[in-house]
Amino acid sequence: MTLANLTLENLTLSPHQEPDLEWRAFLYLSGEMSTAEHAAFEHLLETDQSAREAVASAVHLVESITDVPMTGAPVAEKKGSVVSKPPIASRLRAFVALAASAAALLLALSFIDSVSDRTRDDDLAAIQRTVRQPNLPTVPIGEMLSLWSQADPSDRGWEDDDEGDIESPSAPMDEEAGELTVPGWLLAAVASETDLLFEEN
Amino acid sequence: MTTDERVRIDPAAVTALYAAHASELRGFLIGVLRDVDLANEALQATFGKLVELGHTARKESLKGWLFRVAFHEALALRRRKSVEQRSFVKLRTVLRGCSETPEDRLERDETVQKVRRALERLSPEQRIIVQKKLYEEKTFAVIAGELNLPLGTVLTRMRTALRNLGNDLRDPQSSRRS
Repeated sequence: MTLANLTLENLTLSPHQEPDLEWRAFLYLSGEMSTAEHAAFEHLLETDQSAREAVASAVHLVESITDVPMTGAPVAEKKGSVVSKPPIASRLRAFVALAASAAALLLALSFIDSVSDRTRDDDLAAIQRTVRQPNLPTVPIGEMLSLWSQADPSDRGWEDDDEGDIESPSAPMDEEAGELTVPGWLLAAVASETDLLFEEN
Repeated sequence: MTTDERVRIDPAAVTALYAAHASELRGFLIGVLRDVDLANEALQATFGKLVELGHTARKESLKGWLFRVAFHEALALRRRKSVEQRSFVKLRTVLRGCSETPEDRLERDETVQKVRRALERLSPEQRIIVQKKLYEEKTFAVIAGELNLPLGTVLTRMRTALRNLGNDLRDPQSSRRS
């Protein structure tokens, strides 16, 4: 049965919801009756004062309702749709952010290595000039990297615990940087400063 | 005074009947004709008939007599104007052009507050259907499609919403809701 063929008579209503005059009047008013229903209702209007008053009542009710702007009506959610964001999306975003941080760190490390003919002071000065983070500690990031890489491996600190099931991006770096395990705080610091470096360039 | 004038209904009675029933009659005629201008035309014709033939009606059934005459006037107008009757009606569009008496306007302002409260008391499921039907002027079939609901569910929710709204407007203190 298609939607077009559905009529009030064909619909199964609950036993306590027999078609009442007010409801029929509303359907008549809004032109949602079938041909047969329409004819039957108009036949009723010939003789039934209650039916006539029901039509008048429906008109006034609709008039009153539509006078008031409808605000704050809930957005209809289709059946089966998910209202809250699925966990996988937020995990995916966290993974992308971490991967971007790791890439930025690699870039920063390679930048430092690639300018080997420049003095260490020049490196630090170049990085300091391009970094502008008033809220961060004043130790330049280049110096931090340099100091940290010189530290004893056992003093290099701990890896951040994984949150959720995202694989730590530091694992691949262990191979490239020669057993270099980068702590999370350093990743975050480099990522934020390197972002600024790219923005200004 | 001629015999006809003696027989005709008292003008004061006509005025009183107009004051008592014109608003409801007009609503009825709008429901039948789905056009405010045609409804006003039919209302005028109805009270013209009252002046002419009202003396033939029994006093206790004058209201019923008026409505019956109004209905026939509406059908006659519909035939003359070839107005399509079974098509879907954009209710808000039809009723937007309603002219009203100053008394009606005052009463409406009071009703607006009642309606606002009544709408807020509807469940979200009912409110969305009321919005789509009365404000967005969609058919029940379209609403059912958009909400991915059975047509029967949409009709039931609309019916319940109208009942609740009607009850709240008649008696704002009513606690009977579904």
